[in-house]
Amino acid sequence: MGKRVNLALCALLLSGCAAMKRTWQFSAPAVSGAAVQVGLKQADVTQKTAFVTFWVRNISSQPVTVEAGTFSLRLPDGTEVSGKTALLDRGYEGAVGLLAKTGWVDEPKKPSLAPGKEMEVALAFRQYGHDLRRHPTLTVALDALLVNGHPAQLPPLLLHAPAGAPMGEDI
Amino acid sequence: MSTHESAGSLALVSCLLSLGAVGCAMNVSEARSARVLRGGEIQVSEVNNVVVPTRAVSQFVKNVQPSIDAAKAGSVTDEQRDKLVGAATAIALTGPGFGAHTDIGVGLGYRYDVQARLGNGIYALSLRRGFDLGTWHAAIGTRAAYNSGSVFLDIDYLDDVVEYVKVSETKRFDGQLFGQVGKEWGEWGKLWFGAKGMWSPLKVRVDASKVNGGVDTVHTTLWHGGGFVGGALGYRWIHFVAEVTVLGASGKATVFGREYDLSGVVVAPSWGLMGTF
Repeated sequence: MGKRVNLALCALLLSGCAAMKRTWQFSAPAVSGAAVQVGLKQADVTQKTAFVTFWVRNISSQPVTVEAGTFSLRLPDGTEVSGKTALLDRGYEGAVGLLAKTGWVDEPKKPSLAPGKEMEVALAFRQYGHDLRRHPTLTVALDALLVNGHPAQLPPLLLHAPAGAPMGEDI
Repeated sequence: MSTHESAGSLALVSCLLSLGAVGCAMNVSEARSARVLRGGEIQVSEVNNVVVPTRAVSQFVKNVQPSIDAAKAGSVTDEQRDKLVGAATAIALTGPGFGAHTDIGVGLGYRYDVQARLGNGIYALSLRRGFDLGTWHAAIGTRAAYNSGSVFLDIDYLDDVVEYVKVSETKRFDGQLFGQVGKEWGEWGKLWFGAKGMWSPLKVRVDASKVNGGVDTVHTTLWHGGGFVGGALGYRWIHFVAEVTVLGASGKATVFGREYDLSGVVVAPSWGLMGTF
């Protein structure tokens, strides 16, 4: 009897510990388009913020320009969450853009990616109303990824929660 | 409230403010949102409390001053000694004053969170279970607290009373049950209200030997019941918190064979800073 109680307490404690884990590492299979392939370098999902770093690889035989617009993350209930770059990066880009408009500096060059080369895009998706960790999948739409000025026409990237993670919003 | 009681309340508040009195703050505030912490979420708060027990005010103003004057003159009667004992006991057990405590909470997951409360002689542990009601949140919880009583009588304006009747060695346990309902707006605003009941068995030593009395150990139980409303404003991680708790108090203490009614109303505003990470 005492052993069963101990086992039950241990199970409760372990399940509680799992639910208390602050950051889950999600994973995702890469997706490919005509010119680029996009994969996941790292996805650290906390309660309110998913910190996601993507890699974008040029799989064509020509150099391409790649622009990452506003990626959006969709929860299973349809909630859309916009991704943002780091505050300092946004501030720097905004300042450069403003100076370029006034003509004080040149328009920043669009990054060119040689064949076989990769670039990284790091975004944070913040949503306070839901616990982002408690969803088995998070969908990232890549419509805002432009290659040579045109949409890359990539399927969405599906982020999967790690095995054994306690799921369900009501946790 | 009569003119006399109003004057008494003002007198107490002005005493607290002008003397910077640091006494016991009862362990009654919640000072946190109705939304329980999610698994792994941590909340650290610094909360300040002012506790104004109206019964103690009226006892102090109406009954005690003539007895203090008589004690100073060395001619205290049995009746005046009883009044001094009653006032000292009421003031000690209902705990007027100002205090501060630190709350540290952590989300356990599955809509449970625990919170430890330390400071001002209070050692408390709380457990809550939360429920989501659409855009509203609800929680029920319990808190067990031990009051060491070490700070009960460090209040300057009570010096005249405690010079003649010493109330010490207080040992008090607070058991609480409470329910909360609230709403949050984005990451900047939170509002909550709720009901609370508190059961406080306690033991205290009353020494009236300076006014020709003896030493007595009082065992009694106080009951409090009432509600609270609070809110928080801030952004993401840091919020300023304010809350008011109003509790009806009920209880009696028998000291030196005489029964004193400790019932009344406790008003406890609290405020502080809350960080959620």
